[in-house]
This record gives sequence, structure tokens and C-alpha cells, in this order.
Amino acid sequence: MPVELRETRLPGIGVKYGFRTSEGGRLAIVLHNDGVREIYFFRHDHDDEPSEVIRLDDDEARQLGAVIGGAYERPKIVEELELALGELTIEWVPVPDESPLTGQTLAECGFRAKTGITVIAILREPEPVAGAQPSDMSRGATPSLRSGSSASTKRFASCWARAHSSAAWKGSARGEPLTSRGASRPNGRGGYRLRLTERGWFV
Amino acid sequence: MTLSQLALTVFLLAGLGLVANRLGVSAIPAYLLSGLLLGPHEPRVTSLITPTEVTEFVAELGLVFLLFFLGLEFSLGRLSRTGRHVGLGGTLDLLTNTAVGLVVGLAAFGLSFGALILAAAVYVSSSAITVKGLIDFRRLADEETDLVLAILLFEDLAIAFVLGFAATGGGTTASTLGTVGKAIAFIGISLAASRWLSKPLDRLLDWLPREFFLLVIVGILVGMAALAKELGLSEAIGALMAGVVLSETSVREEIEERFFSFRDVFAALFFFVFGLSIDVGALGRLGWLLALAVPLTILGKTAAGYFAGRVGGFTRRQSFNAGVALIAHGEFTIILAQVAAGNSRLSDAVQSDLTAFAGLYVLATATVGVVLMKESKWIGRRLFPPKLVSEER
Repeated sequence: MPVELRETRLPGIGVKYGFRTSEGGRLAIVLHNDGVREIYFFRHDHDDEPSEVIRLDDDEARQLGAVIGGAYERPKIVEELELALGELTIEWVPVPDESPLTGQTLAECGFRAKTGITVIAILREPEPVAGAQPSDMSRGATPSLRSGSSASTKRFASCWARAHSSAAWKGSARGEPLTSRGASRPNGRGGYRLRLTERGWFV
Repeated sequence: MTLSQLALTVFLLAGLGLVANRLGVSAIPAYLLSGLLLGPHEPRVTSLITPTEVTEFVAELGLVFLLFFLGLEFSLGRLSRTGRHVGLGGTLDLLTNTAVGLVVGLAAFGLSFGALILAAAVYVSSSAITVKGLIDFRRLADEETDLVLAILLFEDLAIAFVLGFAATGGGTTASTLGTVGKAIAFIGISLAASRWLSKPLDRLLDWLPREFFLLVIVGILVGMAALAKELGLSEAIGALMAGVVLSETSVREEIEERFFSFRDVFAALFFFVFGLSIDVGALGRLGWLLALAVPLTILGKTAAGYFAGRVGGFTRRQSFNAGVALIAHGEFTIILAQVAAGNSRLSDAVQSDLTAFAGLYVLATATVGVVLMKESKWIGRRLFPPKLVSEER
């Protein structure tokens, strides 16, 4: 169930996003132009005063976002969910050692042609690959992140399931905690650079 | 103004600004107060600084930078993105509070150009004070905040037109109309430039080596201010429009970052120097006018915000909050008075009255406005108590 997110410009201040929680409260997140984020929580929708206001600087806000978004550990029930960016989703997919795809290049795997998803990064030791090229290999124990629309994500899931026995895939996903961490950082004047610190694939 | 006097001034500004910050009020009244204390008028015990060419120049520079920053924050894109509240809320506020302003202006100067300037000064609320209040009092998440910000944006655009002709209007009707026409053309061309010239400007500024970046920006700023002045408008409108032209470029944030530290110094000095020329002795002469203008302003702003809110579909308490948030007057009222003080077509008496009135009026509304804004939710709950029946359901 997608949450209905309301975006409002606050001229001279920044942007505000708001949504109602299923428990009857209301959340508003303000992104200040100077990088400060504020989270307002109203216990009841029509409350006059927020019951809680949290103020975070840029680094804290990114860290909070990563933790809440499930970059480290996801609740069991949402294991299949991904980070949704508008129409696109980004998910990371661990590639177990015994996967038949291990050792193949991305071109040979042909994910984009078969399913429409794009592998955007490979997280592996010692060096993560930020802009994954078709000639990059998916080697053992290299979880990956991928992005695509929800339809192509579904095609990818079934394609992936055909390539792996589902037991091996589930086992690896559960047994090994997610250790990928990805964040985009402003890169000087304009442009963003993807920062990957640990293992995984961004698709 | 000697160097030691400047040092003393800056320390006093920083000290009083800090106190204001601690008390949760805007620094603008604190800066004005510093100027008022150190200035040549009452109280004479602390009269240390007399306005000279140096302070005049500082004020002019401060004015130009202040308006440049106000312009940078303003853009047509932002105006259109704020959506439905702008037109209706802005117009309601304009009609109500220009009417209030005209009553005050006519009472002060009779049917004259000075009355028109005074009306504009009474009309325009302070974006700086209100925005600070909205942040400090945790109002950003409230729905009526969108309405308040939209109205403030509308006011900024409306006052840009007045700034255009405030410095040189007031002669014969024909020459005033000519100035108004030039002002409208200047603003129109600048807005068009911000819309269509942003891409080439972007490329130019991107290509520039870093050490010349600041220089070129200052060049554009001072150049447009000078151009506006040569055209018989005011440097204020030139600086404001320089900001507007650059507001749509991708270097806006870099400009803001690089000039940020300057801005506060220049703004502080500008308000301080303006404070120097406030004559508290005029309180005896202008006291009645203030006693008329301040309550009328509180009423007019609250009513305009309230009705704009009700029409926009907000609850009664939300609409009340929106109105109260607009009471504080500040930077634009002072800027208008400063620009008009340089208008040779206004008599000396009118000029000094305008300055004294604007200063004292801002001191009053900024203080009262912030206090009322802080308590507006409490007041709103008393004024519009929740209906118990509907509450129980």
C-alpha cells in the first residue's frame, strides 16, 4: 500500500513532505535549504501543536534514512520490499557463492534485456564498483543493488528465481545480514556521486 | 565614524543581537535600537555617532546587499509553485492593508506622494521576522504556514513596484507616472531575463574561474543598481532585480553560500545606520499616528489573514494564526523609508517624519507581532473554543 505523500514548497525555507500514519497521527518532514531536516509528529491528525519535533543535521538525517529504509537490517515481513524512488525502486540483491550467475559478466547475465532492470552498482571486496559496466562480473558473495520500475522488478524476481534454487537464495538473504550502505552526496558544484562503502550490488 | 567607533558599534550590534536571539525575537528591532541609542538624537547621553558620508555609504551598501539577497530568494518559479493561495490571499491582504495604510498616510500627510509611500510601508509585512517566527515556534508543519509564505511572496513582488518609483516619484503627475512606467518596464524586463537568460548566464558563470566568480556577481549587482539609478529609479530596485535575475540560475546556492557571511554584517549595519536617523523626540509629534497605525495594523493583518484562510478552506484557528503571523513589520518598511528619504521631491519634514515613523513603527509591530504570534494558538483556543459535541464524537 503506497503512502500518500504531500509535497509543499516553503519559499525561502525549503520543502515540506507530509503524510498521515495508519495510526491516526500525522508526520511532516521539512528539508531546510541549509541541510537541516525537521520531523514533526502530531499524535492526532488535527492536533494544534506537534507532540514531537526532531531536528537533525544532514549527516544524521541520512543515517536515520538509511536505518529506517532498511539498509542494515530489515524486518522479516518487509524483506521483499525495496526503496521506492517515485516510479523507480532500488533494491539490493545478495549473490551467493554457489549462484550459477557467479563469474558471469553483467552483459552475459542480460538482466536489462530480459527484465528491464539495471544493475547500478556492485558492492564487493576490496573495491566497490559504483557505475557498473556490462563487462563487470558478478562474483561470489557480491550482493548487488538494482533499480527499475515495479513491473521490471517483478520480471527480475521471477527470472532470478528460475536461475537459483529458491532455498539457496532465501538462505543467503536471511543468513547474512545486509551490509551494504549507499548514499549519494553532493559532489561539489552540481552532480551527485554514489558513495558505496561495503559489499553489495545496486541494481 | 572612526575605527574605534565602528568597533564599538559592531560589538554593540552583536551583543544586542545575541540578547534578542536569546529572548526569541528578531534581531532587526535590536539593530534599530542600537542605532537609536548611539545616534545623535535622544537619548543624548549615549550619542556617540553622527551620521556622516561614511555611514551613508555603509547604509547604501547594506541596502544593496540586503535587497540582492531578498531578490535571490524570490523567483517566478517559486511564486507559481506556491499555488492557489498566492492570488487570493495576496489580493485580500493587499486590498485590506493598503486601505489601512492609506488611512494612516492620509492622516499623516494629507493627499500626497508621502501618503502613498507610508501606505506601502504599513502594507508590507516582514518576511524575515515572520519566517524566523515560523521556524522558532515550530509552525512549519502547520497547513496555514503555506498560506502565510504565499502572502509574503506576493507582498515582496507588490513592494518591488513601489521601490521602483519611491526614490524619484512625487513631482508632477506626469513625471511620477513616467517613473512608474519605467519601474514596471524595468521589473518586467528583469523577470523576463530571469526566465530566458538563466541558461546563458549559467554557462558563463560556470565557465568562470573561481576567483572571478565573486567579482562578476558583484559586478552584476552593482551594475544593475547603478543602471536603475541612472534610469531615474532607485538603486534598491536594481539590486533586488539583480537577485531575481540570478535566482533562477544553478549558481544561486553557491552565491548564497559565499555571500552568506556578508549578508548578516551588511544587514546589521544597514538597520543600525537607519536607526541613527530615528528621532525619538518625534514621538511627541508622531505619537498619535503610531497609536493609530499599530492597532489598525494588528486588526488589518489579522483580518486579512483570517479571511484569506477561511476562503482557502482553513479552520478558524488556523486562519487566525495565519493573520497574526503577518503583523510583524520589518525590513521592507525600513527600506522603503530609507529609499524615500533620498527622494528630493519630498520635503525635509516629510522625509524625517517618514524615517522616524518607520523606525518606531517597526520597533512596535515587530515586538508586538512576535509576542502575539508566539501566543496565537493559545489565543485561538480561547477565541474559538472547540465545540464539545463534535469533539466527543
